[in-house]
Amino acid sequence: MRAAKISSYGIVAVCLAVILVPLFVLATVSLQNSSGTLNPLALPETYHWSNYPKAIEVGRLVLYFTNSVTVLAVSLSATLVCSILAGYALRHGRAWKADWYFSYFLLGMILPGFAGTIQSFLLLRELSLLNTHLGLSIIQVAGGMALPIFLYFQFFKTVPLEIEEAAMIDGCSPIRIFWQVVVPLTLPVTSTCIIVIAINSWNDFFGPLVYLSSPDSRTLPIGLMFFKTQYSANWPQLFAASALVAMPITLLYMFVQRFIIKGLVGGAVKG
Amino acid sequence: MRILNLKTFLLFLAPALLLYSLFYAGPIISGLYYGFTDWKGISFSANWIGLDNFKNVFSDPLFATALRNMFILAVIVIVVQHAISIFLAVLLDQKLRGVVWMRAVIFYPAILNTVVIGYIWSYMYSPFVGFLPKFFESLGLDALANIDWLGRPDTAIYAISFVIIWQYTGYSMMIYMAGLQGISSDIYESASIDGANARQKFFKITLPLLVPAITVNTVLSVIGNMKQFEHIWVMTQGGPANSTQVFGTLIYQFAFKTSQPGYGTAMAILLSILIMLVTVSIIRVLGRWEVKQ
Repeated sequence: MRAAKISSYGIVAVCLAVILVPLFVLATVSLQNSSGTLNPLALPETYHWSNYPKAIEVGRLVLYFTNSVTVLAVSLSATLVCSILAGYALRHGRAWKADWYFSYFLLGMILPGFAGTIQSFLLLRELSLLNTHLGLSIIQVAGGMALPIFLYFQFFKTVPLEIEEAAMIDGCSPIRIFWQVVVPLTLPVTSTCIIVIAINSWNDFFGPLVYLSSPDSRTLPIGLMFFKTQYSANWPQLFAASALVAMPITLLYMFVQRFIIKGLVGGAVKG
Repeated sequence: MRILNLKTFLLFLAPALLLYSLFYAGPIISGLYYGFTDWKGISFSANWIGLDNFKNVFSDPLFATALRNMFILAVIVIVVQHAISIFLAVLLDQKLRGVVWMRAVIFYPAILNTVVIGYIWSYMYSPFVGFLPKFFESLGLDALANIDWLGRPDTAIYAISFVIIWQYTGYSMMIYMAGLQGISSDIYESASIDGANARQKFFKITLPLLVPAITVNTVLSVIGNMKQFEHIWVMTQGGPANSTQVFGTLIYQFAFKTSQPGYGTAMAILLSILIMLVTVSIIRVLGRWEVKQ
């Protein structure tokens, strides 16, 4: 029994090492001399912190950070509004074939989004939304609302009808019932949705790759991708830039780690 | 009593329905037409050419490569990632010192950006200067140190699948943990009274009762890997010598590099059909194994 226990903790230790070593390499290489030979196995002799300000400047990371935040803000708020409304409509829409609409929305979780890329590209071009953050946000909203709609729908089914009926008898309009009675109850689902939507938008790679081609409009992931094509051999600076790109989400994770894990896992399990 | 009338129902549904139909479902569904045309992707107009695209797809060696790689990714990831993550979930579900911290570390790569992960691993694998060559060299394993993992057609797809497993094992582990928390401790207690050992408990209780979590996890990772684009695009762009092409990278290239989006769309239709078939059969098969507590 004891031998079994020790060997299983040995395996856990190996797994932890496999996760941590690449992250350690990221940190240590980012602090090495960008013109010297690299040693990923040890800490650098002198810490070249100057790689970081250089990476910010060369990689235009401040601009790309602002772009990412803009896209995130628009796409998060719009997805929440659309999906909470739709989830509520589907909950109370039995009479009008709500389950058909529901299955139609669920296709969004299965079909590969890249199947319609050129069509969306042409459509955004027609609307002069190509290369704009609004355009990318719209694409993210459309492609990312399936799971939130599903989560809200499942949640609204657990709200007892009596609550809404009582409000209705008291003379509340449907919109007021929704806004004052139902929405305040949705806090737990909304927090799950916020996590899922925000992380997907922040890490979105395909969307900005296709719909944002002008250098000034890039978001962080794409900005980082072009950093490499320009400075391919300079690993320390590239890694400083990568560490900076990973920084915001990492800090957030350190403080509200349980909340993020719960959000992502909850989203997956219920979906 | 009806809470919504038809007008409010449509009002609530409209924003989602409009955006979803115009910018997601519409474009994909229109592919059912464009897949049968010689579409160049410059405007919305195209000429009908019947089944030509599909005939060409089936004789295209790249299609075979994409199918093969999709299969490799799906199988390796299901087997390796899920075996490790079930094991870790069972171990780290116990109350131990530092266990919350360990779970958090193992989960962490799942929230990282694919570009960052792609760079880290491009460097880890990179010949001469990278981590793995230097690491194997310091152990005296020169044969392993000289392998260019991402640069060789016979190793690249496996090197990439390792990265995907590295990123998502923690994520599956957490889903399994959520599943474990749903198993009542009474069952384990009565099994102990009946004299069951740890191995019997795992195979006769834990595993059967985890089937719903296994279904969720398998569906998620199979769909995710069938739609794979990002990891491959960041690390190899489908190379070397097209050896890591998957449907995602091919469809992207037919759309934006070679101006054959009609042809790419035909592939996307086949992929969508495949994904739906596979998803339904996983749910069917695993659903049959499900037992009630």
